[in-house]
Formats: sequence, structure tokens, C-alpha cells
Amino acid sequence: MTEFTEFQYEHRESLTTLIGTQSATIIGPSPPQQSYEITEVVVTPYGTVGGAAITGRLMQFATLQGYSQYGTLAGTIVEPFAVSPGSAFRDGDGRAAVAYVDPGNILYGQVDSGSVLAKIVYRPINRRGW
Amino acid sequence: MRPDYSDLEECLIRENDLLLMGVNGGDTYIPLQCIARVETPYEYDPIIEGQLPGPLAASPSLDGITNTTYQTALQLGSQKVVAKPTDVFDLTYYPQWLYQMFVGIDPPWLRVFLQQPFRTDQRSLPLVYFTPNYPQEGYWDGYSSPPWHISPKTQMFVLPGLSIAIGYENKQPQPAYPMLTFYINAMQVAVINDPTLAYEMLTVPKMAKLYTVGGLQNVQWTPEAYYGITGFSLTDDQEAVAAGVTPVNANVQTGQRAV
Repeated sequence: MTEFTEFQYEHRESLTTLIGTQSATIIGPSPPQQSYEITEVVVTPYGTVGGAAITGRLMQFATLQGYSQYGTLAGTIVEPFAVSPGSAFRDGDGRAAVAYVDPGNILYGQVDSGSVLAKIVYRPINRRGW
Repeated sequence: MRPDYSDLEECLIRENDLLLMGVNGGDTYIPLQCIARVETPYEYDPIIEGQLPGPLAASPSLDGITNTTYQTALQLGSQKVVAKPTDVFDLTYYPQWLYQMFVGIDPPWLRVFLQQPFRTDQRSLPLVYFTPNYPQEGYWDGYSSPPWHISPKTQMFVLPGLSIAIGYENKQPQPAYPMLTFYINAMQVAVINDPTLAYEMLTVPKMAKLYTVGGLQNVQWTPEAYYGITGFSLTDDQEAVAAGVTPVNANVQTGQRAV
């Protein structure tokens, strides 16, 4: 009755951002005691229907200096995607984790050409690993 | 989403319950009886009510512990209530009232710190007391007590003349817009002046509910100013308890009935 618990799929937040060919920060860095749990990614490309597919990725990078155990993963891709104009890429339904950003890391986004609009549903969690 | 208050049920003080409220670090216990009560949620938006001038800025901290965005505890005033009280929980002029309160916190990562009374930090430890540079101890956060499922661990009591103040820590690299959802069990209480009953409350197991109010600090709160008695300690004998419940302040009109 009086447990002191975390709530699994609540506390969700979402953000929508434009991702271009230059890597840009989406969220972070998460505090070293926390991770970001991503539960949904929706990517919509710009361009004429029938146009070329756009490939891209969400990546996490460590930014903390001298922080070795958890924060030095270099450039891990957490979510690759390929989208064609007119059809969005969607992974996850907001109710289960599809990717994590490790403690101390920043989530970056980048595409190989053009630009896309990305919606990311996530929550900060008090956990270092997963 | 319908809030779930079920966790609080077993913690709530109910009508006719006998209470021993321990103040001044447990030096003084005040015997009370719950005469009547209401339960009410109370939503407090610190920005709209004017406690905070705006959101807590994004944390510039690199280690997540020091140099986070920290707001020292402030009283919970309201610029929206007509009288513009500087403390919406102040019971100084309502000595027959007592609040048993719980708080739900949003956003989840937001840490909330309690002072009771204002400027006396609560729930610190001797070596890891909290400071703006190390706000690690004495916090509740929204993970453990979300607004729709308030944790009984956030229990606090407001006595007349012994109100609260709340501070905040934001450790995310994004701004935080705090929201506090209080669940208040507001009570009318009577002071126990019967020495026999007061002594039984102390000695008969489970007869009275014992609570520590205002933490382990000695805050020099004087019960005779609000309850008209000096109270007693847990180890007092029958004679000392009798002295502790003898009215010493004729001006105090609390206690609607002599118990």
C-alpha cells in the first residue's frame, strides 16, 4: 500500500524538432544520475511525394570530461531511420522504451540530405543503466 | 485521469482519533483529539500564485548534483487570493485547526525541499545536510509522489504558528515549471486537558497516534501560545503529564470541548 515507487510509463514528455544535415542537440545532457528513455519517435520528411528517401539517425554522445563508467560512449546510434516523402517513420507507441540516452549524454539528430521533422516522446528516469 | 488517493487512506487521521503531536524534536508532546475533519485537494501553482517569479532555469550542472538550479525555500503565498496572504497555510489565528498534508509534485524530476517553520530545513542528516550547492538530502520528487498518485511519504503537519516553506531543485538541462498538488486533511481539534486520559495516551499502546512535527530540530515553538498547555515528554510520569495538560494560558480559546 505504501510503496515508494516510480511510475512506469507516466511522466512522458514530447518535443518536436527540425533535424538537418548538421548534427544538432535535441535533448541533454542528461544529469549523470539519470537517463532519457525514448518511447516514441516519429519522423516526417519534407519534400515532394515520390521524392528520394532521406536517411538519418538519432545519436547519443558523451560530453562529460573525466567521467568514465557511464558517460563515454562515443557516438552511438540510438535510432536509425529512412523516410520517403509522404510516409512518416514511426517507432514505438509511447508506452514502452525503444531507445535510451545514457547518463551524461546528449541526444543528437542528423540526416544525410534535406531535412525532417522529428517528434520524440521521452522521459527522464532515475536510472543509470537499462 | 482520476487521481488515486488510496495510498493515503490508511495514513489519514479520522474523527475521534487521539493524537500526540511531538514538537521541538520530540521534547514536547501535545495531546489532541480530532473532532471533525474534511479532506480537500489544493492545487498550488508556484508561478501563478507568485511564490516564484517564473520557471526554474535549465540546470547548468555538469555533475547533476552541484551547481544545479536551486530555489531556496519560500513561503507559499498567493497573489490570487483576495487578501494576498504571504502564507496560505498559516493557521496562527485558527488554533483549533490542524492540517495533515501530502504533496504531489510535477514535473517528475523536480525536487522539493521542506522547511518547517520557515528557514528551518527539514529531513536533513547531520553530515549530509542540504545546501544550495548540495541539494541531495531531504527532498521529495515527482517520481516518488506524482500528483495523481500522491505518496504518503510526503506527510507533513501544519500546526498554528508552525507552517511550512518549500524550495526547489531543477537538475534537468531544461526549464522546470513546478506544480504542487496538496491533499489536505483539515481537522478541528480539541486539546486534551484530562490528566488521566493524557497519561493513558502515553502509556496504553496504540491508543493515540504519535507524530513528529517539524522534524528533529528544536524550533522553540511554544504550545502554550496556541493550545494553552505546555505539553509533556514521552518519558514523563503521571504527575508531570498532569502538569503538562493543565491550562496555563487563559487567553487561548482552543478546544471546543473539555475532554
